[in-house]
Amino acid sequence: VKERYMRFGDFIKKKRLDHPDELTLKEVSKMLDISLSFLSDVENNRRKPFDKDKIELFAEKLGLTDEEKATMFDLAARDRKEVPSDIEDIMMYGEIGEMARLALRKSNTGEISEEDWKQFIRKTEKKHD
Amino acid sequence: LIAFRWSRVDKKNHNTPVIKDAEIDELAEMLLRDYKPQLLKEPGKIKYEHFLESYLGANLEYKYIYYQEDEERILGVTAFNREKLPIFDRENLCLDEIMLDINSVVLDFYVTEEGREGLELFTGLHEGGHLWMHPGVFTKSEMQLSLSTSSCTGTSLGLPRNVRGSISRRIFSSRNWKPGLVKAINI
Repeated sequence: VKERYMRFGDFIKKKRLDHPDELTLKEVSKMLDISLSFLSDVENNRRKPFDKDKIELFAEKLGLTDEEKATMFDLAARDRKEVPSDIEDIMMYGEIGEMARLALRKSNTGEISEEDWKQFIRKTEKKHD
Repeated sequence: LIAFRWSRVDKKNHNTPVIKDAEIDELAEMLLRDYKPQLLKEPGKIKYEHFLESYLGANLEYKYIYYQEDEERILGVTAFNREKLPIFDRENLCLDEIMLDINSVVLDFYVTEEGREGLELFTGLHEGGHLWMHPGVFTKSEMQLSLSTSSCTGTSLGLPRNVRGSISRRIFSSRNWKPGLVKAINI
């Protein structure tokens, strides 16, 4: 299964097991300051994925790339069903969704401004006039 | 991973392999040579979690494993099939059940407490021994799962907690070590 189609728990377990330091559940639970039981349940998809802070911390402690971190956020959102169901397919499983997420992240970092979005919307509106 | 093959089995006990203590030592050395050969040259501590998860492919979990008041506590469980395990839910102070994946090893939190590192290592690797040597005894095929309705067919193995270690001695002092001596839990 490609990483971007995994459940959140499977993804973080894979990252832990793939780590060169042979990280154990116990070690990672200490790194994240969460209980062993909680981490074990999250890895087994019995509990909801981490919140934003824990995702950031996990990515930092395990040295994940920006792309891997972005995948974690996507998988967490998918497992939490936080994306509205009417756009879930296109947002989470399509190429357009991938571009949209990239664009949204660029907005977060300031590379794309609100004005850029407005221009884009105006352009699409013009196209359909 | 080296596949486990053994010709001497107890046919009256689900073809359980019958293995002498010395043979267990040889098998352990063979696995170690395959897993981390440098440990045979320069002995060091085995990170049991890594051995279970990355070498044996186990799904390792930690829980408060349920036991009845008149039973001995259970230190570890190995599940060869997808099945439910009764646990204590300490957060909500109630009993619960979790669904275990195939090839799961569950250790009781008791062994993870400070000062019990040796017991934790022993229990982890003990369950690893079950996982490697006993799938032929306990793994049910999909067909068997759908046909079997007997609750007496234990497919998980558990090591009873016994602070004085009498059960452990009983297992490991016998000439022929059989998993039948390990308490099986029927779930």
